[in-house]
Amino acid sequence: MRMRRFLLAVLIGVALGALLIPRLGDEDDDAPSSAPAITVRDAWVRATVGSGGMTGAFMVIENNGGTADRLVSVGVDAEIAGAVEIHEMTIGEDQVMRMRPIEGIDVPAGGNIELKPGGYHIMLLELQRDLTPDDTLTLTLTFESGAQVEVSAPVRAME
Amino acid sequence: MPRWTLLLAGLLIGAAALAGCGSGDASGPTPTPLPGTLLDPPKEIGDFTLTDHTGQPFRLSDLRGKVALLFFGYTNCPDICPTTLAEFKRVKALLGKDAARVAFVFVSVDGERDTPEQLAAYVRAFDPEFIGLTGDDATIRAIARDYGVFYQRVSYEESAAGYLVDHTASTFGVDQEGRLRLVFSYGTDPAAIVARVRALF
Repeated sequence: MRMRRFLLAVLIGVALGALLIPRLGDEDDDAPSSAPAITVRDAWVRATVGSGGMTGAFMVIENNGGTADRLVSVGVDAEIAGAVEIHEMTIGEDQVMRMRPIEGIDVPAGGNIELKPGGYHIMLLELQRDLTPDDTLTLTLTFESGAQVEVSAPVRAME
Repeated sequence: MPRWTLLLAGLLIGAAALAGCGSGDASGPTPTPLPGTLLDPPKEIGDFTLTDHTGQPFRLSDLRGKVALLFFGYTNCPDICPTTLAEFKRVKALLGKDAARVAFVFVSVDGERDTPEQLAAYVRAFDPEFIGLTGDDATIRAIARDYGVFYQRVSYEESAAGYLVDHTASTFGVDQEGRLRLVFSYGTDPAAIVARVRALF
């Protein structure tokens, strides 16, 4: 009787373990896969004229992972721009356009966020030279999760 | 951020409130009329003199006999200003031959940074016939008040932008007699603008 109980306990233990181990394994698989789950498409930068200016970069950031993430900083070659910020533009009911630097942009799990004229954009400041439509910039996007994504963003004419 | 910019911002906000832009609404200035609004009767507005992108004095009355579309912005604006000028370009294309009867005017609300040279490079990047206007802040502010345009410098200690300029994003249509007739909200379909403009010929 005792032996049976012992065996039963062992069996249950093994069964539970068998159930748990693959789960743990799955979680282990999830962790690294959630980082490259961020992808970026349709990136572009608006061309500029005149020196010392600033311009906006736009793109769609997709999060195919199961965890929300947040764009927290963007880098670009210092020979292109002296500073990069994340901005949000709004137009109120009063028709006044307001632009504000913001801390970051949330990218929901399984969703995407569009950086486009009239909304969020990445602001390239202290431009070291004009950006013309034959340029392509490399932007490095850093997310709260630690994920980093390199984005190739062609320069498009101002129109 | 230098203390004077804070002071300036404070003064500007105060001035805007005194100028009646506040209208008792915490959200700010008096709302401009709805998209594609035809002002009837037309609003009489004063003539003005600014400096154009070639460095020459430019009067609004120089445009008598033409319909003028005006947009207030600044060349460092990365978003709605170029978008609106790109739409002006589409309006001009849609007008075809009638484009000769319309002037497209970009009025800077950042006279400090928008020199005639900077404006020239900017407006010409869209169309060689577009007109860029700039001037000192007192002059621009008086014009803006006439049109119901609000603008305000905003500085951020943490931002490398130095300062940004919040401003009304509407486009204004002035008839051949120099009276304010049309107000379009940002993003109005160029075809709708064309229809409204043609009605003023």
